[in-house]
Amino acid sequence: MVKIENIHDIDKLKSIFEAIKKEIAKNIIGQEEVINHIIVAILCDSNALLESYPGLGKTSMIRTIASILDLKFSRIQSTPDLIPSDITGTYVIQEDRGKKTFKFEQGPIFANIVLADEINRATPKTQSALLEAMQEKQVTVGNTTYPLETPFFVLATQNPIDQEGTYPLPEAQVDRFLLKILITYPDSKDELEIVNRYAMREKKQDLSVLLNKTSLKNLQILTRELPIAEDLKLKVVDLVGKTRTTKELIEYGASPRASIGLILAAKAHALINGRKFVSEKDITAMAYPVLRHRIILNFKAEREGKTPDDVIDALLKKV
Amino acid sequence: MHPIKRLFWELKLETLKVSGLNALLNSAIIFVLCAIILNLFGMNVMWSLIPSLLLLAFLFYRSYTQMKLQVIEEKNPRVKEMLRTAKDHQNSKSVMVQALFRDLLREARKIYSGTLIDYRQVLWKVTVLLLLSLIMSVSPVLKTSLPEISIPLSRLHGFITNAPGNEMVDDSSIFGEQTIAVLGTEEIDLLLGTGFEELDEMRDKDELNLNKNSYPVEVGAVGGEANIEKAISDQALARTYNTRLIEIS
Repeated sequence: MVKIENIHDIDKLKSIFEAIKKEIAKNIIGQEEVINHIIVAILCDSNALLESYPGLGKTSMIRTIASILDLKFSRIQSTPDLIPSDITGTYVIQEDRGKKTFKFEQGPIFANIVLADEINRATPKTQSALLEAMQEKQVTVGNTTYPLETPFFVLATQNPIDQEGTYPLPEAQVDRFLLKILITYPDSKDELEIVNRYAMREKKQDLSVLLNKTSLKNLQILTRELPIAEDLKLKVVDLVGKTRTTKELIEYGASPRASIGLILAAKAHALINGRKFVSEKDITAMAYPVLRHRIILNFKAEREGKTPDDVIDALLKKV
Repeated sequence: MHPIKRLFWELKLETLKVSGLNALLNSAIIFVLCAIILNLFGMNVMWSLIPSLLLLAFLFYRSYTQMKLQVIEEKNPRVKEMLRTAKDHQNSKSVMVQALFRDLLREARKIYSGTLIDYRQVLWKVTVLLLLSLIMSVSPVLKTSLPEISIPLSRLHGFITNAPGNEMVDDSSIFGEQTIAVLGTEEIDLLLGTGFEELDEMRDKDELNLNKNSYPVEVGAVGGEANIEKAISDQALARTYNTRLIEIS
């Protein structure tokens, strides 16, 4: 197990993350960019929204990451009849020597990594309970507030098809996710490997724990301390500003939360690549997952078949 | 001094060396160019030191004031972003920033003035300098085939304006000797009759007088004083004057 405890360990960062990715690859084939983005969200001490078709290994992926990072994992399958107490926990009556007392039973939210599957299927009331936990890192049940254990990371998923009977997250809530990660179908080579691995043998490979919680917290601190040049900060602010002024394509642009998120995500991306400074490549790489869920295209752009990624691409060329 | 601040100072020194080399080459080219022009006009070539030294001082001052890390960043793209980030966080004591400084100091050891020089530009300037030096070495040949141009400005002014006080003084190279010039001003007394009748009448009178008094009769124009010797000397003078004119022309 690797521990990050002092400055000399910083030089080992790149090798640490390479080892983590290699360990993840034992169970997950391909999807390197998705894994990178999830690790970025964890390092930024934030949350991510995953948009994916069914059967692309979302649960396996996040469970594998949780194992390697020695984090407690829980999964919440959202349904329309899910209520907030199903997520947060509730009081149950406990009998002890004839005495009945209320005891708080913690819900699945009390974990380090929470996978909220198909969050758009849960009712707005249930969504808000989860979102409160995401934002405040605590849950309130009755009159009591229970803090959540850190590090705390929520990976919420959405299914882009089968939208009937769902409750799409409002933009104000979607804005609280640092990244929106898109998972695409694997290519034929990766799919063949998946078939060979999971159709031929059932047992998944055992994974090694590579980082403990303390080291992960240290990495989160180091991420925030990573230096970024002033002109890159200005570039980020300029880019986010352009999402508000490019009225020919964008109806509503991103908020300053996007600027904060993009800089943080770029720092984490630099750290994963073993750099001790933020490069322009980091800004460009993280612009898409940070901004795609924060901009609302106007009718003209949608009619032309443009996606948010196309618009972000055009804005990056202007900046 | 903080190691990273010392690094920036050393990097600036390296850019100063490169700027100095470029300024020196440029001023050397100007020196040789001015020297060629001055040489063609027969002037002292050391006067060309003035514009070249002024240019050297100006270029050096300009490069010093405009000196930025951009020069190093352009030549060393690998350390470009490291330099820029380190410069913006020079006074930070953060762990990550200290780690960045360590990496930058390690990378910056590979940067020296040799990596900052644009060798193509230097080669081009040296070639130009050599060509100009070659031209300068053959410029004395060019100088002799050019006509000597002596421009006495005062005479030129007088020639153009014909102003009083600018009369030609004795300058035998152009106008000849003054004694020759007065030849044309000698007066000749000429007595002419209006017709033959008067002449005849005069003759007649003279004949009459002659007949009367044996007075010798001579009719016609009579010079002031018939002086054959003077005429000969005048002729010789005129001849000499013409000869001199021919020589001058």
